[in-house]
Amino acid sequence: MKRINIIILLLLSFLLLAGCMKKEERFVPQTMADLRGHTVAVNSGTTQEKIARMVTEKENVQCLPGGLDALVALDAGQSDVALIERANMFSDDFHRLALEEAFTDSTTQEPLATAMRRDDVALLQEFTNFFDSLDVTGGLEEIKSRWLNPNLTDNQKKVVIRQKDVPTRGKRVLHIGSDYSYPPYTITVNNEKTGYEIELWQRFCMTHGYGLVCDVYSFDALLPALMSKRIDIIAAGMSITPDREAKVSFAPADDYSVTSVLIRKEGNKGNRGFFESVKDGFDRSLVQQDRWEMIVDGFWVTMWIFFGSLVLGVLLGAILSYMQMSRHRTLVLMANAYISLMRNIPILVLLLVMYYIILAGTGLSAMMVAIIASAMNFGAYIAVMFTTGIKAVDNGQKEAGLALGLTPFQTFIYIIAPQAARHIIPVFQGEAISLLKGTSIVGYISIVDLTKASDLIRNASFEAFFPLIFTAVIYFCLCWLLGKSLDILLKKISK
Amino acid sequence: MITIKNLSKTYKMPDGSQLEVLKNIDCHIAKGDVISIIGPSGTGKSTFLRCLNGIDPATSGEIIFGGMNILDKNTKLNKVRQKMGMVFQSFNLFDHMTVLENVSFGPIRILGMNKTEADEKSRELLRMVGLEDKADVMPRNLSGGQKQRVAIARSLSMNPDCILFDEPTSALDPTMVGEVLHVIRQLAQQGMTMLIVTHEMIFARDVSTRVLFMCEGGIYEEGTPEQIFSNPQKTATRNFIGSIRQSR
Ligand SMILES: Nc1ncnc2c1ncn2[C@@H]1O[C@H](COP(=O)(O)OP(=O)(O)OP(=O)(O)O)[C@@H](O)[C@H]1O
Ligand SMILES: [Mg+2]
Repeated sequence: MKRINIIILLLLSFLLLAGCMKKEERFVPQTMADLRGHTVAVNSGTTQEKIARMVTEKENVQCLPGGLDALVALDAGQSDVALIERANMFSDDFHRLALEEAFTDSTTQEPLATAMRRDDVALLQEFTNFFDSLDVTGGLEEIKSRWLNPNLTDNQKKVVIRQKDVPTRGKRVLHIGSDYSYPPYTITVNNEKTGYEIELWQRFCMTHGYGLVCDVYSFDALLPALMSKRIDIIAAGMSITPDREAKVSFAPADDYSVTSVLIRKEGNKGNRGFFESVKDGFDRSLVQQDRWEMIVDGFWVTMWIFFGSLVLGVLLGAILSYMQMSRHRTLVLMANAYISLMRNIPILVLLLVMYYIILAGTGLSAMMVAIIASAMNFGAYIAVMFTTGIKAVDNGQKEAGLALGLTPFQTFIYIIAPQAARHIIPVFQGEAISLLKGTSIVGYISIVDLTKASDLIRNASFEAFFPLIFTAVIYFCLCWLLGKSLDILLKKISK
Repeated sequence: MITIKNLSKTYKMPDGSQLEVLKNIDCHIAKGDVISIIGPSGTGKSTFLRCLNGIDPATSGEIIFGGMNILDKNTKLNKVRQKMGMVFQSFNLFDHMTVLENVSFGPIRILGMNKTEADEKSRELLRMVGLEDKADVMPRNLSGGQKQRVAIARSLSMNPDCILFDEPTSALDPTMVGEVLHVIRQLAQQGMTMLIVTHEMIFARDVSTRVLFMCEGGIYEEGTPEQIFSNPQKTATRNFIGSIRQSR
């Protein structure tokens, strides 16, 4: 036991060290042509991705799916340069990174705007009118002076409308989807979802008496979510491209993406001591803006989904196992078909199918969908476990129970089940731990669980190390505790 | 006490064919009878016992026990079995319970006796079978003979009107057969009604009031131990008794 603790400690400190080591080589490009032959980090789906694909070789483009992960990748020494939207830099969080702009490139410009479904003509019309009047009254100018101002970098000063100021109910409830990770358009400040594009829609909803609900999706999931009517608006600093225009309609655009080419500053992190950088990372990712609260909220969401699908899954598994052992061939066949279906579909695909297709029109919350999908999958494994566990109990035990005068049901409860449990619990332990770890994919359907919370923190603080390690440690402790408690249960029933 | 009329049992085989194991058995068992059932392997002795308490449902006929027809769909079989104990060749003690719990389980769960009373009664039964000191041991730590004696005590714990024994000593080392037979002899002296499938001919001869010789799914010949063992009337019976004599 002692030795295991030491090994874990060693591993953790190794990770800590690795997280603080940076590539020292520095590359300073002057023009876009210099980028050829160098690795370029970009955020997926942005104008910059397109540019990178033009200026450097395919294999040198590192396309990162989350918010501003390109910055984190550059800072971590994963690439030579990063191409980002110039406005992304207008924040303190950016200035804390030891990164700087090599040059600005304005050869390729694309307009940015929020998007709606094409058939939602009324919404587009209303928003366009609102936007125009905002422009006329000078309101738009004021909003831009906060969010799109290179000299105002304190994000907390930019927020004037809080989420709680905007009702979530009204004549119509609009769902606004975003990754809240693309400043200044959409961002998380003090655990609040805000940003330039978000504020525009908040104001729109307040004037029209509409409710506004903020849903978290990764950038790639936004278009599918809009198409399947899970959300009504995409606000993610999305650039207007012909491809996208064919599918959605964009709000009036008055902002253009300008590309900045970023590099690491001289001696990036090299001049900071190990403990200093650990302390700084800890501070930025957990302490500042009370970001740890997101972890706590995410923790509870993970717990809800885990226990919900555990209970539902066990119930489902019991029913399936009963069907498998029934004398009716059709029931057996149905159960077996269901089990093989569930065992051969990746849980993530199942989750997306349930969310976007099967349960799309039911109005069930994403949380319920996640619990149902996890339970559907878990139930199949539980059923197999129950069936094999029960069949492993000698038939003589059942006959002895019946011969004593028990009903078949009593025989099951008092004689078979306790003996089957001894076969089942060790396997159950592994499955329950898999279930808990498996909940980490629910971020795909707009749920902010533990994993997604660490994503959001990483994107808001540009600090990859701490949120991830912290989350890993929490998962480890949870799974360990779960395993231990089942161990104790097993010891109790097998005296 | 038990009246069996025209009892038949057919197994459906996986290939669809039918296997007739019991053929039109008629038999009456009176209170206090100790009946030994002997016969060659595969003639349906076990099946006969299992039909009596309904663990294997009979195909047709009638079994009347304590005024209830066991083959009637409305009969509560668990009630029947509470009064008709069974002891298995392979003991079938409840593996997850101690010896004492095995014996007290029925009285507590089924008869609703309180635990102290049930424990006291169970210890008494264990004393009777000579295993009082094993009360808190798990069944896996017992010898075969000890297991079978616990199984008999468990069966007695329900105060049954009769007990069915299916080859109670066949799975035992020869050294342990005696201790189990001793317990059964004791029960016979106390007037317990019993049906015993056995290959222990000397024991059968001593203890039974009546012997049934089963052959090819029917009761081929029956009579007092004297009649069956010393003076069998039919050829098959004679051959069977003769073969056993020779092997001794
Ligand atoms: N569940 C079953 N399904 C099909 N056939 C069975 C089943 N149980 C028993 N049989 C068949 O019924 C016949 C009688 O079996 P049974 O066990 O009653 O014989 P037995 O007289 O007890 O034999 P032994 O002395 O070997 O115990 C055998 O041919 C056996 O193969
Ligand atoms: Mg048999």
